[in-house]
Amino acid sequence: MLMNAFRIAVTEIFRNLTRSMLTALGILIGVAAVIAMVGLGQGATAAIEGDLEAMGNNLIFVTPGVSQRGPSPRAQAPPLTVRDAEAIRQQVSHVVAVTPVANAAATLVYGDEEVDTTVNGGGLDWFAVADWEVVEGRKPTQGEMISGAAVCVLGDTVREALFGGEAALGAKIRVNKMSCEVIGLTEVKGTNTMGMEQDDFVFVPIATAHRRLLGNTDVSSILVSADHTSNIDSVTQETESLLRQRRNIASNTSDNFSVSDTREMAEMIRGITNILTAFLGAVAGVSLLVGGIGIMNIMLVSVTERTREIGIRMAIGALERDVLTQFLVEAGLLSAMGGGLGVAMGLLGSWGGAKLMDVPFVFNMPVTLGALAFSAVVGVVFGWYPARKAARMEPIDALRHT
Amino acid sequence: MSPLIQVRGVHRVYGMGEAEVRALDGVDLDLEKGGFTTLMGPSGSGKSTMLNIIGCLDEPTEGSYMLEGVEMVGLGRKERALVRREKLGFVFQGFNLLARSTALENVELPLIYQGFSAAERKKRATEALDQVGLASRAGHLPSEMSGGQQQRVAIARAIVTQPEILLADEPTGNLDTKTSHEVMQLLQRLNRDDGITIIMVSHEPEMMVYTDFIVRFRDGRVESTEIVDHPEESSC
Repeated sequence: MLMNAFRIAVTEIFRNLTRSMLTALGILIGVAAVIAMVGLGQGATAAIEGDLEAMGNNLIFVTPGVSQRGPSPRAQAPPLTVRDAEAIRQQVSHVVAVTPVANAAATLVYGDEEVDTTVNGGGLDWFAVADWEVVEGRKPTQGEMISGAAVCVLGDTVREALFGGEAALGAKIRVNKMSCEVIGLTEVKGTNTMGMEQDDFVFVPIATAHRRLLGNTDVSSILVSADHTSNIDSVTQETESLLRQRRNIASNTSDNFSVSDTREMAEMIRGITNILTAFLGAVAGVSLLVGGIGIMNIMLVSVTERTREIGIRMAIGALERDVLTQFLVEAGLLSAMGGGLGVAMGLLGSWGGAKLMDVPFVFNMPVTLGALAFSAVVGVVFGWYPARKAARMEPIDALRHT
Repeated sequence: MSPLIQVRGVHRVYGMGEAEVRALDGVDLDLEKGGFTTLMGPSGSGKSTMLNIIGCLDEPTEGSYMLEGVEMVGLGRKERALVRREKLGFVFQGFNLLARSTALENVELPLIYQGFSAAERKKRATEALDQVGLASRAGHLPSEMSGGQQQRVAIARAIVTQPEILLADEPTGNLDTKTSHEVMQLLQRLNRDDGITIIMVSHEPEMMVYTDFIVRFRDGRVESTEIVDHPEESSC
């Protein structure tokens, strides 16, 4: 009987294919939207996590001040020093690389070309911590680092702006008022998912930055690289207690600096994307519901149109149950058909969207199967009322229906 | 032994109050197994209502209807559907074939609800089509057949389950005279050769010669019951 109900349902669906397709469209769009939204959301999350990883290996940031919000704590907190970074390197275990960082805005000039960018003053470890490869030329030598030599390594955006197709290595450029030699070029990382231009910087030894560009010895942050992800917590704790000691903070006072790592940022961003994904998913879910109502509507029309057929079936021996099954199967199949096409469209959409947004394509099996199952359930739930209406007909009235 | 069909004091009232229509107003009727009976009468006389009640498609407002000694009044929807499925076959004036199914599929339909396997369904349906002389048209849609052929498919569908009783509501009402006679001859043969009890509603006097009994209805009551003479047979 069930086999037969399937056959009848397929026949009915194909008999009025246009109407069936339009009916299933609501479900199709709903399912496609759910899958595309969730897929893109997860793709974006994965991309951002990738970006954070690209910022450095098992990275921990140390910044002066408690909060970045509001000027007062930062203003009161004494700056970090190069010696703080040295102390962390020597006293905190599981640390593989440490670099102090001093940033400054600068205008770079070469010939007629001029570009504004950020100067990253750092130690030699900067390349390891921030995960930069020098692909042409070289890094500064130990001697150049200590003496604060006028040498610099260019990010690709800066190189392109100043030199275009010309050779950059060995050229003398001006960084603000300082003249310096280009000794190295870094790999191209491009724009990350958050829209940050990663190649827009110039690196100089921190001593150079302090002496020739900033005129002070402040360190705006210290970047620490732990040897393994599992040791990030212990490195964070040891760094904290070391700095409290070095900065003479009484045990009853809170830190006037903060130590954070990329996992916290990842956690926060994941939280935001999860909320967005859930929100968009819910909107898509509503369209599934609307699709279900569309199915109920068409099934009601179909039941009315086929009243006579229902009467014939009942007269020749169909039980209430048989008629109910027939219409439920039809509604479920109609809906599942929309769901199936919706899955295809959704995957296609999230694949295309991922390409367009330059995020990885994530195939989520549970969500896909869930959306498919949910669409069939929607069909059965919304098909139930029309099917019951058909099954409850009095055969004599149904037969008289014209 | 009680008759196959025993109707006692059956009333059927449609509507309420002012709009009340008494379709049946106290009918007693006994019909024996193996008979071929015509229910006759002008329109509105209650003959079709009687057929529907006998067919378990409608229920009397009052009274008793026993089929094979079992009371049918007060049965639930499911029980009545089961009686229709197991014991009754229906032929309608408008054929009532499923338009999008072939002749064979239409005949198979009752067997589907009885739970026969596909192979068994096909075998029995083909036999039934053969019985009505339409084996060659098994694959045709109703729209590709003449009225007489459609009605013969409907008859095949009614007898494929080997029912006790065949109920026919104006089976020749939509047919021309020649085809009407062919259909009546077919029904007569099923009654005589296969022993199927047939109850037919008709208002065409020339079709009565094929039947054995006539029950005349008027104003919701049985006016008279008569036995049909078959002069052409007795003269043979």
